[in-house]
Amino acid sequence: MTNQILPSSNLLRVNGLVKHFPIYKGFIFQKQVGAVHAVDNVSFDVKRGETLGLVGESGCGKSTTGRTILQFYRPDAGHVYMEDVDLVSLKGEDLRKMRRKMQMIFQDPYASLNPRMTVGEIIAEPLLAHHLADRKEAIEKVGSLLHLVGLNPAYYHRYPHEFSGGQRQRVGVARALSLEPSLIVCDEPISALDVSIQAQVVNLLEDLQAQFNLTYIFIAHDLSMVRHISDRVAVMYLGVIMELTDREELYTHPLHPYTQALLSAVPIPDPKKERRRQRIILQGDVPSPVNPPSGCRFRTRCPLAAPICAEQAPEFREIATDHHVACHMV
Amino acid sequence: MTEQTANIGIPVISARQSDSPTRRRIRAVTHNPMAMAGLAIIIFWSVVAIFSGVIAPYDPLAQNVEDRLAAPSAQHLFGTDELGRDEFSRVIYGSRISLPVGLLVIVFAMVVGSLIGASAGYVGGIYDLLIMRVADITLAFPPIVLALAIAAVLGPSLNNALIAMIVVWWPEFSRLMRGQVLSVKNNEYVAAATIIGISRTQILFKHILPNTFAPILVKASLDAGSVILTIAAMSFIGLGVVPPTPEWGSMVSSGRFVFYSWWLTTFPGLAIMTVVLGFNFFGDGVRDAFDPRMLGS
Repeated sequence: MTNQILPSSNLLRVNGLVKHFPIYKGFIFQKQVGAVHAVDNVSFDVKRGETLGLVGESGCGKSTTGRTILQFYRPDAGHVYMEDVDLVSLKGEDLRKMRRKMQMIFQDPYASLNPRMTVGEIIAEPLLAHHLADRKEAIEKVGSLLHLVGLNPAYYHRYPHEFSGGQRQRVGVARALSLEPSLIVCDEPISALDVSIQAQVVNLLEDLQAQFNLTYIFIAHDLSMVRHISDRVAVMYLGVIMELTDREELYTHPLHPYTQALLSAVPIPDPKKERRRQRIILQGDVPSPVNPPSGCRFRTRCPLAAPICAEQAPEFREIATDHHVACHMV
Repeated sequence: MTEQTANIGIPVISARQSDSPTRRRIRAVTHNPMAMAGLAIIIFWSVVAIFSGVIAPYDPLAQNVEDRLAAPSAQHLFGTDELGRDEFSRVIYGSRISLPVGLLVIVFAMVVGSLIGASAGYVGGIYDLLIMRVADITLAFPPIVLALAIAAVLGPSLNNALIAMIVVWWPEFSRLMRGQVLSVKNNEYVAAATIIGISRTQILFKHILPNTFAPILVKASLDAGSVILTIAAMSFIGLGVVPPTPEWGSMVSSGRFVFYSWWLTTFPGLAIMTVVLGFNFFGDGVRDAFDPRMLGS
């Protein structure tokens, strides 16, 4: 599998990704008493230039998946191929060099900018760290990047606290763009922003994608926003991808019972239709990722659950062309 | 970069150095009357220490047995001690010991302690565990007792007293610094730096340490008074500065044998009090300036 030639349309290929966070007990003689199963056997491809939406409830492992792909968390198993290079096998300086090609936009624009650096220093830092520019070139580059994301280049010497949330997020976008990456993981980039600002930032992301042929992994829980921006959408539940397909296919013909329940929660902006909207209300809470249910993770809340669901984890199958579902009942 | 053209043709105007958090904090200190009073006291004693030779009317070591234990008068402002030495001159010269010693101990303990604590917090694991247990053991002793024990083993001299004080004081800074690093290293901007591809050492020095200094500086300015007091206490017991060097603690100590000559204990005691108060006022002001509730004003 390691030497498999990938079709050139795939920028990223994630294969059997697993990330568990160990839980320790004890003081000096620590022993592991369990693990949070944050991401379990997740596989998908991302095509060059597309936007893959990653949706799911809070705590289902969306962000962890994004961060594990970028090797911020090292995975416990699985492979991440970026342009045919297995990131999991890279270490130290080799990995640091690969980081040029993949960047991240963070959820909280207040926490993701170092308060003691000026906006210019923040955006110039990646350029200097990778020796892509000397100081003078970096200043010029930062000016054009600020302009690109819709900020005044004269803001170079300002500090993050002088900006609004939307402006800060633009700074975060400029920082991610400075290395001219091919892949950007957007970790809920708009959920911390005012609704009026969200559209601006999303439009900016779309413009930049068109301009630089960027590939996005767009992590969000706002289903209508994901529908707007994504080409394909993956639905996660408790660390596992339940369904993955084209945007239109997913929103019009959801196959997995969890996806159906999730989509039935989206309000329709038409009072007549909204009154007739059938909602699927799931019973109970999301089980603990420390001790996930056997077999299918969704079976405890699934309206279709059968005995086989408890015994065997459903395979992530391709049911129709480019429509993958992990469910015994489909 | 005043008038520079970026490559997209937009002029990069104005290098207005905006109001950084640091500047706002400095302003918060300068606008705080108590902190300024403390700073004035510190500056006053620093000037006294620097210009001791000019200010003091007598040689602090010159004995004049005929004039011994004279009460304060126009000739001897603070009176004379049991060997007839001018108390005023001795208090003036005493500042040459107390101030530099206090600063030296604080700076060394701060630098050494912070580096040890920062590395423990950043590296973690067994290294962290060992370092912190050593710090805990040191902290378990009352500082003056441990400092006395170390000074007693090394022998009484100013240098040994300094070493003892630094050994006693570093864990306080280490513990504080470790906690700071642990909290700062979980910030999103540290994660961002990793993902950008900044090296681990650079992250520590550029992204973590600059955001940890606030409480360290506050502690340093608050502790300077205690250090001066502890040095005085050690000299009082006889394990710090050796006679005949004038030092406030040892002067108070020798004064207590001549009960009716109140000036021998009062004036060096007042000197200690003012310096300690000065550092505490200033330290309080620094602490308030770093209080997040102060920001935004």
